[in-house]
Amino acid sequence: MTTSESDERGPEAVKEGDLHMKNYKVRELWAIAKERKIPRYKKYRKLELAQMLETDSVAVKETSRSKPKKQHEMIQSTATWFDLSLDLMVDILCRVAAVEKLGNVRKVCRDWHKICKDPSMWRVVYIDSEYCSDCRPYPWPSGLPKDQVTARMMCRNAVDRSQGQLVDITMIGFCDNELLEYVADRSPLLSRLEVAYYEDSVESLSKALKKLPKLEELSIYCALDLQVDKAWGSYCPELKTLRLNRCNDIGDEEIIAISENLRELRHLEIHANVNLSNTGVQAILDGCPCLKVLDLRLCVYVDLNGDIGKRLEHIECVLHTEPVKYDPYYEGDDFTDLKTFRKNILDGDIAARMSDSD
Amino acid sequence: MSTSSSSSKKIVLKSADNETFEIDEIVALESQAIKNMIEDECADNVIPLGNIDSKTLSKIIEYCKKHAESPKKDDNADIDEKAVEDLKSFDAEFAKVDMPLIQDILMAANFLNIDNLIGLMCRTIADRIKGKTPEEIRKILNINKNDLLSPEQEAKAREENSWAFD
Repeated sequence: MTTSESDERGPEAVKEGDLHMKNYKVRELWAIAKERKIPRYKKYRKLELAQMLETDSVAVKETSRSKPKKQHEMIQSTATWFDLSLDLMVDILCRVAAVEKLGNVRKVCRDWHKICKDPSMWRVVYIDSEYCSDCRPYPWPSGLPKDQVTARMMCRNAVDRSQGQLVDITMIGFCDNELLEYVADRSPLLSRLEVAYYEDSVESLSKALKKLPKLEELSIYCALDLQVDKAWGSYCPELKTLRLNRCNDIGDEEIIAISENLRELRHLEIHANVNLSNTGVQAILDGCPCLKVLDLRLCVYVDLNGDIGKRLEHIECVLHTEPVKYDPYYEGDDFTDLKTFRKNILDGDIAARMSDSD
Repeated sequence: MSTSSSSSKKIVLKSADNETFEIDEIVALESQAIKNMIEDECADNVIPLGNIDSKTLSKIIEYCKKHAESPKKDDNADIDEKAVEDLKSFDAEFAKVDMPLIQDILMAANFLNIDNLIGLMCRTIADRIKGKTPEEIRKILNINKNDLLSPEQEAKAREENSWAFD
């Protein structure tokens, strides 16, 4: 479906009643209309234009000058709806998760198969191999093996299909160091990265971030052995949102290091952390002058009541004692409230509960 | 269909099955296509919509009315949050119809060029095929057998990702 292809077909190829025109992209139709000197062709909707171009080109030239819309608007053909407009199909498939396009959707029909070959369909990739309930948006497609190996293969495939156009990726339950590197090597435009339940120890995260200069949002959930690096901010100078939720290997020391280079940060979330104290919070406030949202819910060793409270006055939204009403990666309700959470920790209950949930 | 103040200008739409709907111009302007027609002065008193039936058209008018009444996002910086919520729940309710009607609304919305409604219908369809097998999707959307992949294409696709077909 390139422009040259449509030019080749040209007016001669279009017979009356030939409905192929409507499968052209609007730009291609414009090109043909321009060639045929149809006045104000850009004002028409795609279908009208297709209809016009399908009928006799000479007649179109004459009528379009006077009352273009009335001539054509009212006689649109309604065959089966699905061959009506490729644009609409593209619009629908843009809203379908990558995992579904990979698994089932592209096998539905010829048109969909073709649409799914376009790299622009793969700018946003969301793959969730741990899907368990309605708390997350995209279930695992039926008929596919649900395991981490498949998930990694699918993820690689989606990244390949994006041909460097990937801007937003979410990987839940299967990401490892190798895959992260694969993504980073091929996605120079990536602006949003979300990883939950990281499989390996996260030593290669810094390595990946080095290759992602456009990254604006980084979210890590429930990662074991997460290793941060004070150079993060310099690798990703546009980083504005950072989430390090339920990552208990992060503590004051790591936060102090990381805060050094995050002067552009607007939104910082650290949930359910037992190693962060006010020392870390001080470092955040020193390092991130542009902060608008500071969300430290369920951080049991942080106390924002004292002197530190005054330093928070310029931040638009500070959350600490508020309950976590929605956590896509944690289903229990016993960890959502600071009081309960603190009690659980004091009871030494946390480890047992963590392993229960595994 | 004429319920609002009598002072405003009216537009009459005529459906394929010859039912007429009198609506305020402001409601009709939600459709970019009608807006263009009015601006080009090629809209007569009655605008015939030969490919939209009355059932679909009345749904579309219901949608346009609600959206024409609601404050526009770009008008004011401080949008009433309640109004936004209200519109959201209206949209959700609006989309609770069967698939043939959704398809009719989508086609008509595309034809009348009503951006928000196109988006809402596309989103609804995307939601309904979530997690379904190709066969189920074809059934839901009533996709013609002639449009299926050819054996060669299928074979090629199988080769591309053997895992996806096993």
